[in-house]
Amino acid sequence: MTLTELTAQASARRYLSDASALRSPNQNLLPLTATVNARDRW
Amino acid sequence: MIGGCDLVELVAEFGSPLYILDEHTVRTACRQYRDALTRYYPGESQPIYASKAWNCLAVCALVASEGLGIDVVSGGEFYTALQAGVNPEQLYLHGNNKSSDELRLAYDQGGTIMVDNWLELDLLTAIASPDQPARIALRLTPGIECHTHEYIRTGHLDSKFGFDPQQLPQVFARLQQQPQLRCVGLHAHIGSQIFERQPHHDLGDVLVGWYQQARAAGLPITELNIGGGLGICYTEADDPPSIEEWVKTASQAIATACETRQLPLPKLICEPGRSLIGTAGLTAYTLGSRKQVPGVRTYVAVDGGMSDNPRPITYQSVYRAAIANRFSAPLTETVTVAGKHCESGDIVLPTAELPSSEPGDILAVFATGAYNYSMASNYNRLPRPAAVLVGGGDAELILARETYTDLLQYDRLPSRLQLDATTNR
Ligand SMILES: Cc1ncc(COP(=O)(O)O)c(C=O)c1O
Repeated sequence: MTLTELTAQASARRYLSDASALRSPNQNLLPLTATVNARDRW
Repeated sequence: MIGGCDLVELVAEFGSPLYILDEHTVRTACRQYRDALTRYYPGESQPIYASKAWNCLAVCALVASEGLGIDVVSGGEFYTALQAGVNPEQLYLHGNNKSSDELRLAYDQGGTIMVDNWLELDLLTAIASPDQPARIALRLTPGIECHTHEYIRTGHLDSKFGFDPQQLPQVFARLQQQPQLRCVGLHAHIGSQIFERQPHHDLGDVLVGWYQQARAAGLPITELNIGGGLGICYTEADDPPSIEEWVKTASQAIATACETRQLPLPKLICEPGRSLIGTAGLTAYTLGSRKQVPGVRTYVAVDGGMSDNPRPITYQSVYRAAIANRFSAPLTETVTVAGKHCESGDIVLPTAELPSSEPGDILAVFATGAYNYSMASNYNRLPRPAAVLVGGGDAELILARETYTDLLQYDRLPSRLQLDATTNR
């Protein structure tokens, strides 16, 4: 995997990683239910 | 996927641009406000939703179903909440220049009126009767102002909202002579998108000081309202406190100040808008034209812009976005995402790191749940987008997409201006 691809994955993950119901919604960038679609998985 | 729905499929079904609101996130935020108040405030409490962030039937009903009251700032917002089935006793009417009609609507329905100035005291005195006094609270300007990281405390604040606290003795004296008005609360709102906790700690203290003065003047004050203001993440660099931390700070400040001054605990009310709904929303756009300015930047245009989200052009607000159908693709370019309006400043994102894209791709802009739809316009005669509420894999339309016919609904063409189809004169 290239560095760019790794960066992209890290970036997508960064947007999603914290989207958990345990955190306060205002501390996430995305809605709490955000997930990556099966056809677009890393 | 949001709320179990595929964003790309949502656009295929409901069109573009599209506002998407995640029900679970809104409900979670409502519960966190409610639970934190119960946990940290020893007295009675209630969060009320500042519906200026997004006021429509479905959002009012959703939030009210979580036990929140609703803050409205106009007859239109009041009417919408009523039509959504919200109990009028749960409505709080704000505004710095309410009309007699707006005051009458709130009074007749039994809502609480947040009185902002002397004129409103006069108007309400004329509208209300002593057998059925108007339920009011006073909005005051506390000399505390805060936006994100800028926290200012001054003796005198240059604000169009609220009474100057130095006028409190006169306002209290006036209320004593007015059996038509039952003043039950004091209110202050100090700003928005706030990341610090100190301002609301200090506000708690100031409010309790006024509460003491009001009680000494014999007013039956039972509610203190600390406004809204908690910030949200628009980018990964934003670091606001959690709902729980924010509520804890304000609750403890009020409880401690009341204990120190040996005052009974009032009902504590807070009025979140942005932090209740901001990150529950996204806007999906379709990418269109692309223009490269060599050595300067590449513009990629979307099918909306300042009409559906006026915050970037108004406040230089920054957002993050991703291409929904290429969410995990490598980020290979930095572009400027432009809107489609006839305005050079109509830029949705000044810089966006995106994968390589093509016309027809779906761009999702994050955290557009607050102050987007509610500030939308028909500039350039663009119909407003539709909005869907998503949850559990279902999407329900909550705002229908406007049509060209809707745009002409209030146009009137005087007959002397009607053009002859053949001569066009
Ligand atoms: C009186 C009042 N209450 C509450 C709010 C909501 O603020 P926020 O969206 O920052 O929570 C506002 C916003 O302007 C306001 O003016």
